[in-house]
Amino acid sequence: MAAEIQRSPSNGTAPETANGTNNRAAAGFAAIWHARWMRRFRRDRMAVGGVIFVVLLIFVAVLAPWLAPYDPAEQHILYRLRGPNEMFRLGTDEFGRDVLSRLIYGSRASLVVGLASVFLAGVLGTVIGGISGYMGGRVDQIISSVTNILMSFPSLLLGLMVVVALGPGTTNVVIAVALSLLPNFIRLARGPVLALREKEFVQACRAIGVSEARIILRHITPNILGPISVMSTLWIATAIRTEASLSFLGLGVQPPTPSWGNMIRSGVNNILSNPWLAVFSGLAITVTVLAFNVIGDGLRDALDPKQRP
Amino acid sequence: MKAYITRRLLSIIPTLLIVGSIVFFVMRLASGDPATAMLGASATAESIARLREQLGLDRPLIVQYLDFLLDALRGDFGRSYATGRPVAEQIFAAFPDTLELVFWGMLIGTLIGVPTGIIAAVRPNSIFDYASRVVALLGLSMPPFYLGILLLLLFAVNLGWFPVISTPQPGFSGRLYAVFLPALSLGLVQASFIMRSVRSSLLEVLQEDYIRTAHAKGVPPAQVHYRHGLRNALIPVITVFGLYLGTLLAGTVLTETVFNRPGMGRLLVGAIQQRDYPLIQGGLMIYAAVIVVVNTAVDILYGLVDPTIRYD
Repeated sequence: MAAEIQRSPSNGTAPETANGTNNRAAAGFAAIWHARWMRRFRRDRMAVGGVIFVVLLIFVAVLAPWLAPYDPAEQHILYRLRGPNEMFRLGTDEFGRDVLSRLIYGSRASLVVGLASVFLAGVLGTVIGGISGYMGGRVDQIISSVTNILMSFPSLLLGLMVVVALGPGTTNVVIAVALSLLPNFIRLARGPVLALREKEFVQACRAIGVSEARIILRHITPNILGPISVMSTLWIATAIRTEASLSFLGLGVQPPTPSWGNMIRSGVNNILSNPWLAVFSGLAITVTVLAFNVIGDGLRDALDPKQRP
Repeated sequence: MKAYITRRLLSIIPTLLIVGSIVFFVMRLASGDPATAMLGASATAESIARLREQLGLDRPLIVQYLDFLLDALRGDFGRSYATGRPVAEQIFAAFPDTLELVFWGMLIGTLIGVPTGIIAAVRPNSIFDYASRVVALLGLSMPPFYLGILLLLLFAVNLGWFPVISTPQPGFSGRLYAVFLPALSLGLVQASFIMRSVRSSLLEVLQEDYIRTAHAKGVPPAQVHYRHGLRNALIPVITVFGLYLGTLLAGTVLTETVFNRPGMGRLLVGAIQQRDYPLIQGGLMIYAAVIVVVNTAVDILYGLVDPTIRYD
């Protein structure tokens, strides 16, 4: 796509190009919308529900300043640790901050960490796994064996280790979660690349003198993006859970920045005075992770109908 | 077969070596200078230098690294910065409590997960199948500690059936009483994972030709499902068992925090908060060793139960 846009200025004037790109995008969208797997996906009510929820959540995160009834950092010191009431719909925390407003702003942390870490791990993992599968030999052996070792470790433990090294904070949590997911992506990318390398069309490319870089970018990469994007959705779910766990331990997103994980932490610390705090923040995490899980399951079933019962 | 087992057992050594190296260098990357961290900002350069010498931090990194590996091999992880006690001693004091939690959690997870998975697979798309899938999906979407919080709220805070702080009491029943809620919260999440993999594995096996043959020649359905189906379906489940045990072990870090229960997890979290690097290092190494050993055992078990696997 990027290459197409770069090439187009030589074809005509700018407005026409923009139009052409638009049409092409529209055509591409229509092709996906009417594809057989998409039709199967659209029939999966749970998965569609998941998509709707995630879209709504993105709106909530973007429009947080307009949606939140209060400033998430404002302390209503006379109303500390209240349960849900008229003034504060979901109650207040130990500093008298409005829980609903903090949940709304907290969606940003979960989404940012979830999406950014999976994107980072996806790009890095695909490159490393691709190199491993494409080059083969010793490089492959070393990368694979380290990956196998790391795979056997739960992502929470890997994330914990990285966060200990880097220190807490949102950026470091993104890196920690990304590194904890990295082995999964490496393994996911390596297998298909290994198989594709020997396919006739790749050998045909090589025979007519296409450069290795071009083979990788134009012929191999498009073929592995499908499974990677499906698994990415499921790993966003894992990433959000890992972020919540790290923040819950006090090692993730640091207060006063609200994140669902650090809210649940203060909820547990004050569980006897206001149990709602832990309940609501945990519920937010659970529903969001559930949404990404059903989308991922739905995509997998739609793309690979044989797996279906 | 013997050669295969020996080779798998021997492979533990390089694996632990790699893990140990990662832990060591990550910790060094982290701590910067442990001596400064220990003495605080007000310390004089002189006292920092003296402590560095005492801790052996003035030696070349490679010497420290080899020392760490050799000591670790002997089960010596140095002394805790916070308490001054040997790390190994603290870890082994905390380990039984965590092991107890893992054991009951895994038992609950297996006892619920395996039968549910079987029933769901034998009657696909039934109400039971649908309900158990929804519950399992919910279970694995929850952060591992959230279910613990809900159970704590219901059974300890509201009903008062269990203690809010589950410190193990002396005696078997006392221990069981304290471990029940934490184990249940871990076990139920675990059951979701196990149910899903048993179900999908058995479902696949039940579509095989030999199952149809067994049905056709008049073998009673129950026997087909259990003798022909389940035994084959459990093979792939065993492979993920090691992975699940690892997840469960990591989950104890969170569960112990929720329930204020002593154990490895609490020790590790406390060490992280106090920047007690030898204790963090030792704790991570023990977790790693347990996971590597479990995975090797699973691999060997896999070779034993699956006659089609090649031992090369």
